[in-house]
Amino acid sequence: MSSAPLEKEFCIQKLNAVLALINKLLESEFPHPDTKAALDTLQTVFSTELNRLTSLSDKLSLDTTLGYCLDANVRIVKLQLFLGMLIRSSNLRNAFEMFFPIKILARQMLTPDHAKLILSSEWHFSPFTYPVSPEELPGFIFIGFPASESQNALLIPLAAHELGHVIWRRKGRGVKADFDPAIRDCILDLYRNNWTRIKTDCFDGREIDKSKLETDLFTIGTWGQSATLAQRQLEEIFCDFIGVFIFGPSFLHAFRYLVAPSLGKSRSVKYPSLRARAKYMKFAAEHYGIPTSDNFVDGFQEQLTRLPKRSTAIVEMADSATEQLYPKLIELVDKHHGEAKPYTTYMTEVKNTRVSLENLIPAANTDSIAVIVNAGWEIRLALEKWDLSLREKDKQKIEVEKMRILNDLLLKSFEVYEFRKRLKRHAT
Amino acid sequence: MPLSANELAERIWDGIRPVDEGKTFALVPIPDRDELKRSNVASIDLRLGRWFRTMQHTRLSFVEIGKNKGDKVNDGALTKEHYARFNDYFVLHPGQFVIGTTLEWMRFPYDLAGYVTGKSSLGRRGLIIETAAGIHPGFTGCLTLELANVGAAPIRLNPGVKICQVFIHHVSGGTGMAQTQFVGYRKPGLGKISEDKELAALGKTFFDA
Repeated sequence: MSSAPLEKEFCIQKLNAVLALINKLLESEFPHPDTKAALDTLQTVFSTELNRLTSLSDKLSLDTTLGYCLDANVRIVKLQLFLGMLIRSSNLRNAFEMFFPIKILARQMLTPDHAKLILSSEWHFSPFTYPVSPEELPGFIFIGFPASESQNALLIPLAAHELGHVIWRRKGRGVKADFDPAIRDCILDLYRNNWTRIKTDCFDGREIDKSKLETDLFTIGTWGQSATLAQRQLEEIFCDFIGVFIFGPSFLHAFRYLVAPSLGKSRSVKYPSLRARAKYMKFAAEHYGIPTSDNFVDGFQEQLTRLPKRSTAIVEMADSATEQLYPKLIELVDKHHGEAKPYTTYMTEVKNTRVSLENLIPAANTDSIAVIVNAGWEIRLALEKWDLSLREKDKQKIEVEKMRILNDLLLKSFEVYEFRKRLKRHAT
Repeated sequence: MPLSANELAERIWDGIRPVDEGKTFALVPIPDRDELKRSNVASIDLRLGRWFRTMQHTRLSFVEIGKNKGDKVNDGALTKEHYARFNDYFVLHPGQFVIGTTLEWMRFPYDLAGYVTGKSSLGRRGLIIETAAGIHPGFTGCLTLELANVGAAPIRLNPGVKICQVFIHHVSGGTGMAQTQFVGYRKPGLGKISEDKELAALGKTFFDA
């Protein structure tokens, strides 16, 4: 028999603190009900955890009790991150008008799943998503835009990329499961075809039987790393292709705005190099018949990949697999985009919408967010030609004011899109 | 003389006709023009938007309305922003004042101006709307509404509700856009008070000590 350890007491206190925090957050004003729904769910999760811990018998062994405490700690650590996203999602700095169109898009892409959306802001400079929501929050999608850009309507196309991750990793119906065998076979072929180099760089020249590549645990561990990296890279490219498919040129512009020339000197090997990624996006755009600028790829700098010899070989095999397999992703986009329509369905509407926006009138009739944001980008890219006869005379301030007006026009256009959709759905 | 229902229905942009910078009168979302014709009224109803601002009572000793030269104080320092979704509400308590916007974004041509007034059915319930009622030719954006509850009971403001009406008038000889600071805003703002040289002169000491 053992008395309750201090750790149990501490864990109960920590769970009570989390519940107090959730209760406080529940007192907030919520711009969208999904955030409150997520908090309600987490309140139930932590209340259950607390009840479990408080009802533990003091007669349990120390190890068993500490095991329960560990479970509680792990849950607190894991879900604290999501609590942060939930509270930031109700920050008035965000452009709440972007929520509805992104949620509609999520529903279209993920049909028949009824996704709940948490649109938030993040303090790292990259759009962010949790492709697989935690088991405690099933059906929730978390997307975060960089805090300083969370009002920027022109970046809405990047949400399609983030939703692409959810499609790729969906349990049962995800793209990943379909595509993994092709990646594996490609990597194995690459290892066989580059065997001399692989032996030298990865296995220090040791005599390893090439025919045992698929059975030898040591070699599996090596090519497995290449396969994992290629999977991650191809996932990113698939998500980019989804973005290009749905949002057309505006996806390329938004990506370029946020990332070019690069956000760091070193490359994350889980992503293709930025230049390669830009090249792949251009390929997808051309495949879909979407015009791109000639210098799109040139705007991205090559990044350094300083790695040991073995890691370099592993990454290069992954890069080669990505290079070979990326064209096949077009078929996967065709198969997995759900009910989301391609940009090309609506592209003829862009000109009229641009004229409307140029004349300071929000988009009034379109059923496509892609039309609105593409028209917005056309104005943004020729900002100096947009004559608004403003009172301001300072050129720099005029540019800032034009961007403010354009952003307000786009966000109002999104709101009108929502207004019309709501009326249409519940028309009497 | 205000435009009639038929004239309004004719002038309001249908979202299809080509836009003419000086002549197009746009309201977006576009009101139901057939309903307007049928109603035979001489005004257009406008709906309440989703953004609101209230004064930050906890940080204000007073609001300056005269000495404005070089004023760098922005809306955020004086006011607190609020947002209510379409199927939600904002409660305006008795004696409380809030600024909101119309849901409609308006773009006035050079030959039309407007006057905003409240709706009598709302006024009878204590809701007073808009005291700075004029809309100049060339105005573009959502109209900021000053809302005050002078009644005895709290009023629930639902975004999307028909909150006010605008009467449209011809401007004789109108040829250009009014020079205004309010261009293309979707959110309510305080705006800057125009510089007043006479007021500045009046504020100076007349007799030397």
